[in-house]
Amino acid sequence: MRAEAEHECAEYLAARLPRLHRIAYLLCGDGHRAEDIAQATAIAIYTNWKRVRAADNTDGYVHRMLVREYLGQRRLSWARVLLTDRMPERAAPDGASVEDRVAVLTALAGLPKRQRAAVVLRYFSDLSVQDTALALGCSEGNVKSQTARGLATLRELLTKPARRRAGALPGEEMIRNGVNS
Amino acid sequence: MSDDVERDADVRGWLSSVEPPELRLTPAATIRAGRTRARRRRLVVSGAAAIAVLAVAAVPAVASNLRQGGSTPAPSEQPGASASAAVACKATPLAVPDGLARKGALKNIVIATAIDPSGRYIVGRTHGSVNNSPAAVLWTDGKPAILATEGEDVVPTAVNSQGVVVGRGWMKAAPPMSGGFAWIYRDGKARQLTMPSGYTQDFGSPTVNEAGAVLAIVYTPDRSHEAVVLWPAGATDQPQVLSALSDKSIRGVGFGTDGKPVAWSRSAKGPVLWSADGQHRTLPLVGGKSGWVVNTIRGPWAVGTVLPESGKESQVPLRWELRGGELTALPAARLGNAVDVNPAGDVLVWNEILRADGRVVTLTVPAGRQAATAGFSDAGTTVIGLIGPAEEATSPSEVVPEVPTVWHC
Repeated sequence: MRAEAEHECAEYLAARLPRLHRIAYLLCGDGHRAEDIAQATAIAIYTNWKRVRAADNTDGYVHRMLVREYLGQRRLSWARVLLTDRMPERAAPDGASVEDRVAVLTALAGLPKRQRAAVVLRYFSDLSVQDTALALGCSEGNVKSQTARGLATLRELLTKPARRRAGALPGEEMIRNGVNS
Repeated sequence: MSDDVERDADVRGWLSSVEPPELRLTPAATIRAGRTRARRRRLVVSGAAAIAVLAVAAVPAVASNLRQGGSTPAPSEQPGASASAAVACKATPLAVPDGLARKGALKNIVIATAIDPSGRYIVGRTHGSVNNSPAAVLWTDGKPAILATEGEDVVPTAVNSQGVVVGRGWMKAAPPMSGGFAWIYRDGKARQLTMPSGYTQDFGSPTVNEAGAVLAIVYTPDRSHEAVVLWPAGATDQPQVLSALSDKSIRGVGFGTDGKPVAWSRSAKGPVLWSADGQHRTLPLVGGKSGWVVNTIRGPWAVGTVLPESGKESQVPLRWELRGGELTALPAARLGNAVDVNPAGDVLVWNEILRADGRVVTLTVPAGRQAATAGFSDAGTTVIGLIGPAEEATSPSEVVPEVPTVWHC
């Protein structure tokens, strides 16, 4: 890659990487996997920079790459491949909202992958139905139905007080007993 | 924003409330990884499978170009670290075993990941189509064999001088997030290590001591809890959770002084070293840099690196003496990542061994290529790693294969 294009790509990644990481975390619910997904997407952006830059809707195109990585990925770790490129440690994040975060992540984990992706892309990434359909590679009608079902399940899990206790949902209890939902 | 989205503000609020763990990736590191990926892709596309026999002459070592290119010198207690020694380490390519393709691995990408203390055994990972490692490789006296392991992603992470290999694995399983495991290869057979109840994900690289005891970090499926687990020698089904080391955000483990398990976690001030009885202390860092990593804990030592924000600055390799926590900051270099340490306190940094007595031993690397090392033997005389191109190829004719390599000094 030419130096100018590489600089351009680096600037794009500097601006977007944290957001991509956050979306990946909402999609997979796991810090390490989210980093893997974000990095794999970022590497794909780098290696396909010409196409990314030429896209009509760059962010939409990149979302598509990230969702594909999430849907196709399971436990990968590109970072581990690199013998000498381990990442630095930094201060741990504020843990004030750990309980809420666990509750939301546990509820999200209860959704099928595509429903989860539809909800995250529509309500966190603010993608239109059309762009979400493009990212997921499905019809707009399918996006609407996946989103509706995902929202219903999320509300079921997150708003019924009888099913909640402090910091834990039924799903989490099962997870701690080694029985993932 | 559409009316629908306005109406669903509760969902937006929930999603926005989720803060991920702090991102450790940097654009610069990603660009480096992207370059490597682009290079690998070219290798595969061009079908450059033949492994070049490296014509390497044993020449007196001199301070490397990389070292000369280093900038800001760091505080150093290493006596005469700039002195070079009349010792060179000769590179020999590691043979790639037959049958990798049948396992779904690309035959021209094998990476040596660990070496035993005697230098006789070396293990390596392979690469499949999705960055997984479909097969694990064991070299015994240089002769390669594919280990009969289960799983779609098997990465050997350590080997002892009896040839006992441990690693992490993953296989597709239901329920989701439950397919991770640690494994051990002994007496010609690989077995999964029994996880403690409630823990189904292995993440931390398992390590093995000379007696055959295994140490690893394991996680609950949602990764809300982690534990450091010890499997005593010969007991694959008796995991012992080291409670004093659990739920401490442990990032790495090793067998430290006197062979006892130790671990490190992160804090805002630097790495925190934990012993199995729960005693802990923060290890010192050199100032002026914002990122750091601990790469290896081995015997009385740990090694790591302080990393700069900018790729133009130098890295500072670090060595800590575990009993007293004494820090030795080694000479800074652009590629100054300390990857391993031996009992004598010699540190393997990129393509050099920084001996405890101040000598510098340089690994021989053919012109136009560079080395990335992964570990060395207790004596510091056998080193493993990879030799690859120094620069990204711009045409198929310039593509240079990446070769798993052993250096004998």
